[in-house]
Amino acid sequence: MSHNVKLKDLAFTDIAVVRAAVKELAREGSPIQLIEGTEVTMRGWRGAQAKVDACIRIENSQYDVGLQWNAEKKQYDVITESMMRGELSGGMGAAATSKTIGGNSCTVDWNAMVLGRLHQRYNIIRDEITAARNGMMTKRVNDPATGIMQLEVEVR
Amino acid sequence: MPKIIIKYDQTGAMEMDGQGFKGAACETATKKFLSARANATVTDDKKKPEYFQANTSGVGLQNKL
Repeated sequence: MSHNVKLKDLAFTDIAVVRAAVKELAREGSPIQLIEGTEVTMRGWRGAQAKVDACIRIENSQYDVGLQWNAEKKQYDVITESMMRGELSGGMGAAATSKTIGGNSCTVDWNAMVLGRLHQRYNIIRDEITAARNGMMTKRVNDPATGIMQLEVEVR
Repeated sequence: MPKIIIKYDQTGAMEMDGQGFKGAACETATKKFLSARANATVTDDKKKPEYFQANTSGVGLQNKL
């Protein structure tokens, strides 16, 4: 081992990879879909709406997560329900939704949880593409206990 | 064969770890993955003792060519 790098605040920059990540999660049973088009409207609190470039719709959530292209940063800004209300959280998926788990009613940050999985899947697919472009072999290793996904990249 | 192990958590954070490299070859390889993430925040960047050893695996030579 010669080098170790940790990163955070990874942004969505490629909608094709977002599309692939959503497809993968949906195929595995995650209640998520990506809505794209020229007139995409995301749903917010009490019927509030906002026009965005794309929107992630999550089953069992009253609110959507919007993606709006930021030309200056060259990335998609993630717009959450609370941001629509002017409560800029700075975090992703701040829209909380009541959900019943195991018979107990509790509030979970449902959007944030699904969005976190989407970020994870987006990053791994993106790196698989980078590896393939550079002729590197990859292998995915998932750890269901921790939720951490791992990509092993063989460097030739 | 040298490997890069990349771990992704569910907060959108990730960690890259080079294994089996000697010298700066690891940095050259990880740069391919980092270059597309210019907007991300690097929270930690450590060079291990092996980084400062001469590269005898041939990977560095390959990169120079």
